[in-house]
Amino acid sequence: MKIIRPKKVLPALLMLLLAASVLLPIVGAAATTGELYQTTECSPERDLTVSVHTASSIASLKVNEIAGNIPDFADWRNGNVEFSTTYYNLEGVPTAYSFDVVVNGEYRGYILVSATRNNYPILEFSKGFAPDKCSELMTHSSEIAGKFAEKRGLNTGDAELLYLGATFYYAKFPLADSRGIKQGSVIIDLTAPSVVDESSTRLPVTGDEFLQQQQEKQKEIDVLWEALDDQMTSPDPTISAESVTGTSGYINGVPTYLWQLGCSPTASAMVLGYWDSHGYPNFPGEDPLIQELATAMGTTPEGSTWPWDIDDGIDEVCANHGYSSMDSSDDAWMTFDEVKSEVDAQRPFVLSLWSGGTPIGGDEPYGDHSVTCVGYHDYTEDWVSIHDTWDTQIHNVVYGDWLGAMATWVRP
Amino acid sequence: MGFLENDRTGRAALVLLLIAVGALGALLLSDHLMIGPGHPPPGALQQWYIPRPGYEYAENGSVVVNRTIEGDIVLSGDIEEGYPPPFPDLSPYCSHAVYLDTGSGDRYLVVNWYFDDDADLARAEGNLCSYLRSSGNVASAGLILPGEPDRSPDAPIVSPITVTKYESETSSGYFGVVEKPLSPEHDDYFIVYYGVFGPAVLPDHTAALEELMLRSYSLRGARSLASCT
Repeated sequence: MKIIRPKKVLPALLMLLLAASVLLPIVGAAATTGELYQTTECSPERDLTVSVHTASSIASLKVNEIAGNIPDFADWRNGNVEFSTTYYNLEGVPTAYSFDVVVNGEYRGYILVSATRNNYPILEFSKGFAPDKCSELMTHSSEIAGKFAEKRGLNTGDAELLYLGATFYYAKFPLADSRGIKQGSVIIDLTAPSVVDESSTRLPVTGDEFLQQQQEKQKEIDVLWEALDDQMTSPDPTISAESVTGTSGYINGVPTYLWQLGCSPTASAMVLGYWDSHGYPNFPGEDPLIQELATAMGTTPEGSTWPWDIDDGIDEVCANHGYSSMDSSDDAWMTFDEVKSEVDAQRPFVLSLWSGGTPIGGDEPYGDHSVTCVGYHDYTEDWVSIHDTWDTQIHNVVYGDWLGAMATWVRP
Repeated sequence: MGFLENDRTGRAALVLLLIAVGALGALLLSDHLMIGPGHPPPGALQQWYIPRPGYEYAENGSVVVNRTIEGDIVLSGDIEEGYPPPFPDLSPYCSHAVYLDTGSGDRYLVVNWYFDDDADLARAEGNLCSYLRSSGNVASAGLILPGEPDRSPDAPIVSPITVTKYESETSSGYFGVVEKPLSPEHDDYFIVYYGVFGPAVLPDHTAALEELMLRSYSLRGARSLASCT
């Protein structure tokens, strides 16, 4: 059982409040539900809608850009896109368009383009299948909705697919009685097929602070859309020079450890494993290091860790091995510029995500997960490169594709 | 006076109520603040014991793959999903990879079957043993892995494990079963196979196979196939 040290109570409560103030606005910022349009009601002259035609052009352009930038997606070069479906929010407003990526007549994946300029232009892309393409999943969801309706003596209609933010896919089935009169709807979570309570799906948070945060986020989104507009209207819009020649940074020599006892100790061990081979050789090997970190940061037997214990745990382990001067600190206000600066200084760090999205090219969202940051790409879209504890590859995640994030810097 | 006392009591009750609500809110919120466990999904676990290539950045920032596992042993091709012939289908979560010893030309095979339920594991062990017995010779064996790389100097220099030795015309090698290696709290079970292709004198390849085992996730606590003993 973990003992709460008195000196930790105040910081813990402060962190709770801090995290609440961070998380709640970001929950809304990441969602793309109808209420988000409230933020722009003050400027009704702006048409935020993106047509399917425009989205198709964007998808086509980006598919080739992705093929040119990501080795894993090189086979997407000269790929075509074919419109697949429209995703909506809870109010029936389009939020995203899904396009199949087809190369030489073969399905090679999908790309999801925002249906509104209120969100990032490219929401996701993958070599896997979007939920609407997964017939087994759709059939299963339909069966669950059917059973739900049957219990109430109702019938289900055709599903409307919902996209409420990264990895938040739902299917909304209208319900009607035997006379055909509408009786509401039932929503099925497509990521883990089950009936969800509409009130529990992610809804945007309103209020002044939210509006301010959203406006700041919107500035970043606007910059991306403007860059895209320039790209689309340039004489040769095939691949933008900016996107190809953007800056990137990386750190070689960070070991890749697979998950053991918890993601936070494993991710932290990779950081210390790096320093072990960069002038701080007293750290133990992989297994004992992860074990020591898990103990020091109070990781639960299930593998979860309080975020504010990560830096203390790292400090404790560093001190145990004679490196008291090493300083680890949490940063719940991390910016992409700080990520770049840290990577450029060749200092890997722990990145803890709340509701982390799916890595580029992956098919599984990270959820609440700590990873080790080893690089960045500063293109029209910003990415962080990570070791995710699930394999030995270097993965890229779109910066901001999470509900909340905290960096734990480790500086000698 | 009674009125004032009532008022004071009411205020105290209100403050206590607010504290209770605040504490409850903090408690509820705290549930969502914990990071992790971030447990790997089955798609990742189906490759868990397969020695992986290394990934590093080249000078131009692109990621390059280093297929050398150890010495002359390199990963041949990619890690493939599914079970390779001649082995049976034991789990929907299975991957395998082929390795080549560039010095000798010998080809090695590593297979990883993943289960999230011990009943499925037991059933799979039974099916596998039936197959192994019908297609070759099966026996229990012990392996003493040398000190695992990158381990603490305080760690034991040898790590004995029990395995099931299998010899046949198509492949010979060692099967091991590992239970809950990631955490005692997670129901993760693995059957892993490290073998050489073709008819072979197994002891001649044991060193190479042990090398592959050492480059895998830790096999500490591995046991032989229960149904084969």
